[in-house]
Amino acid sequence: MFTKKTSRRARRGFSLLELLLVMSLAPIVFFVVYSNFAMGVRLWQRLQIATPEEDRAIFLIKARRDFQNMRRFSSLPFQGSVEEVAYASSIEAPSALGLGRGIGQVRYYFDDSSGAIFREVRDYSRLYEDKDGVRTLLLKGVRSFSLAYLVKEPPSSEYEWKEEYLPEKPSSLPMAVRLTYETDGASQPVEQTLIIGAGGALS
Amino acid sequence: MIELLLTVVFVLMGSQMIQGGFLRAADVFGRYSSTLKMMLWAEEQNARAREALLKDGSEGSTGGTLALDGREYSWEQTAQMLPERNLHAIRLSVAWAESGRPQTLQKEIYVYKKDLSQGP
Repeated sequence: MFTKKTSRRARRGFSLLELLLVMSLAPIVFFVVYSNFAMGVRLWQRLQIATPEEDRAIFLIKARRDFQNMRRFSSLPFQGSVEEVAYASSIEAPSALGLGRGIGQVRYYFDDSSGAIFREVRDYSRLYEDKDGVRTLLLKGVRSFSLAYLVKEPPSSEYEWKEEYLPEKPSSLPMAVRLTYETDGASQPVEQTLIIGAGGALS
Repeated sequence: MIELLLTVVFVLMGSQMIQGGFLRAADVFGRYSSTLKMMLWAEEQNARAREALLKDGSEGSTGGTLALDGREYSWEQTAQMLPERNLHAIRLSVAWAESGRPQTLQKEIYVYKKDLSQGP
């Protein structure tokens, strides 16, 4: 139920002062809301442009950590070619053997058909049975990918980059691995050197 | 009238809070993005310095300015022998300004290189 006062006021409508206030405040409110919206859109656009670059950086950080976990293991020698690299590393042990970590093989390779770099992990049983390992997509939108290895081995005993790593002993490791890759939209190839802490031939 | 003014005040306050959130998000993203880029760049620089040290024993300090995505980064790298025998340290520090605030990043690696002149 309306009181007498309210119903009279409702019938009367807005006063000139109220109308002027609404008309002066409305543009301010609209401007603030619009500027927020525009800022949000700009931020979103910037994030969309920057995301592939961040993806590349995260891929390299993951690869670096992976290469730092490399192990000298004579029954799983380091195999390196220009297209792919495989090495013994500390991996998560299969659930059948209980939780924990064990030694397995990690392989980095480029799949030309999908234009992506993959990481494959194989535990001992998969290696023994020659089965495919667990594959993870690391970086997509890759046009080219190549690897090089920093070695110091006889007979030259000089440090040099090679496209293929042929270990003198099964447990030998290169000093570093250099990844060179080109991604969609990038103006030039990226080169990143991953140091192998335990690298070098055993004397 | 009071209701109208209160509504406007609350809308503006809410709007300001949203804007503040956006600005903070942009600031955090910018800092994260620059640090990530510089971290990889610094690690690559250190890897190259390690290679030079292993190949020809290059030591000393170097530095410069790097312009990347419209931002300037100043860097300084030193490679020096440590008192521990055959051990060298390579240190790289990068400094830049992020939204007017100074940011720094430091990376350090150690290199073992046998000095044959000191004997076995």
